[in-house]
Amino acid sequence: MIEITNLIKTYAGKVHALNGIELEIGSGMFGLVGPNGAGKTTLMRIIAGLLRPTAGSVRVFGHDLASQRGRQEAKALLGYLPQELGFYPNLSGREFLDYMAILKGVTDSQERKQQIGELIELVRLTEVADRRLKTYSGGMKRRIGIAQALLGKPKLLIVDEPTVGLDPEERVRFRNLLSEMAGRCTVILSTHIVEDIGHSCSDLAVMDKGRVVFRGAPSDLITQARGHVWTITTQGEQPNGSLAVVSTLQMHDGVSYRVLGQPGALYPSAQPVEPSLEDGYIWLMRQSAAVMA
Amino acid sequence: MNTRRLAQLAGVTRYEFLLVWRGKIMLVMLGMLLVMCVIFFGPMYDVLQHAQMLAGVEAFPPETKADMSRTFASMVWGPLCITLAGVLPILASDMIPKDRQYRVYPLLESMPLPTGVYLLGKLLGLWLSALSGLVVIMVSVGIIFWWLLDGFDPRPYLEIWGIGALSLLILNGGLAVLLPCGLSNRRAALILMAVVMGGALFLGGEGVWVYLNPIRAPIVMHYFTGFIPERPELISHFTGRDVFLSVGAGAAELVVFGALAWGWLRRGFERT
Repeated sequence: MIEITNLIKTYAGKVHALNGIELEIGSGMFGLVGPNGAGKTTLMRIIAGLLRPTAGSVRVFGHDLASQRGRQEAKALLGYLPQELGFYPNLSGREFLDYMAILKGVTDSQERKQQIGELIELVRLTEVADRRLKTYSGGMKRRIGIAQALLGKPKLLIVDEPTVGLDPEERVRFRNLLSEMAGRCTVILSTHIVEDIGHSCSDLAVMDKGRVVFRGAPSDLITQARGHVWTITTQGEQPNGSLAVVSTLQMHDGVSYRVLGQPGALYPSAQPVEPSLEDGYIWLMRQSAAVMA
Repeated sequence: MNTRRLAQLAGVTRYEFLLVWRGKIMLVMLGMLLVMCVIFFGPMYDVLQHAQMLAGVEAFPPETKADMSRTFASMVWGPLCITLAGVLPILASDMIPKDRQYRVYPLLESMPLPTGVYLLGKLLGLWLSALSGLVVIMVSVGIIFWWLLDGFDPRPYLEIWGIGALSLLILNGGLAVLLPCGLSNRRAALILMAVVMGGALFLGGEGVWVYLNPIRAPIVMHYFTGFIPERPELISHFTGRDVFLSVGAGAAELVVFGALAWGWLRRGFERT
């Protein structure tokens, strides 16, 4: 269980990254979604014990991150995949994982070897595992990053934008892997790809400008947009500015727009459609922007 | 230290050892050292042949050989102290900054890795990698020396390596790891150490400062000249006691900078 109470983070220059976050995250997979600059990475880094909050508290499985001892104990339970993961270019994939496993406290060499072998297979890097990391493609590096996060059988897995740089097939595989991991530990997945959350999380929070603007199940987020999603077909002209265009599809008899809002009398032929999670997210962000304005 | 910390220390040391060798800088530095030592063999060999010819002997008497052994050891000391006192601190300055430059540091920070273990592992990694290379050079040069002199007194030769070179490696290599630990990239670390070593060379020193100056003049000068009792005109005013004091002052320096580096890295969280 992760308990976050009144968390505030202000960077130098009075940049307010987090404005009083209150969250309780239980077991399973928890999604954190929001636009760039919403404060997701800052929140992740605070939970991982890398960043000091300006105010408020974070407890990870009962360990208070305000104390050095609490942070060390929480880190022993943690698997972390940062948004920008670096590597030692002159180590091979297998050596890098071995190094990280030792640092995580997997001291038994047999167990380490077994875990590394399984993870290399899991992320499909068996054939290149003994090649230097400087020869890896972006996707391969991402997969090694994922493997290192899973080393040591963590109780809490924090993954920040994990699917960036992965091809569609790898993305699906990784989402499934995270869902599988969520049966064994708490997984916090931060992303701005709403689709990733919809496919794998039963609980999510939407952040905007350092605040949690929504907390609930993906279905609840979808429900918010119900009655506000329409398709409008025009001869090419853009829909009215008060409507948010979610997608555009060129048809043989014109252009079909999927829009959010109330077309009203302007578009009598507008057809209501069932909202998706993405619609729910965009609708929420529009509402949030309107409230903050 | 518990089992986990010992395993972490061994892990950091082992992988830093690997990274230092694979980074090739150590290889280049030690290669240059070997080349410089070999370059001295040419004139040395000529001098020996000339001396033999003048003496009209097949082999030198033992006392001449002992003198030659010390002279030769002093000749090896030249490239050795330039490498260890001057070049190593600059080339090894990126041990910690490279972790930030490669963006590995956030990952390391997310591990249950105590700062002290991390720092000590970095130091041991550098020391052991350089030491392993130096041992190879010591043996290679020693074999050539043995062949040239047809046997020699190994004590002076072993002393310059075992006391002179080892203390410079530990003291100046240690400073190279600790001083730039707060920097975020390799270039800044390299510049810092170049400025520190250049400044130290320029400032020289008097009194206590001569023992604290990272140029380590008492060690460097003692093995250049003070090492040859049979040639009083070359005897440096730095004695064996000065070498001992310089090593002691350098060790104290290392402890102070180690504590500062430990505090700085440990409080990294507080500064965020």
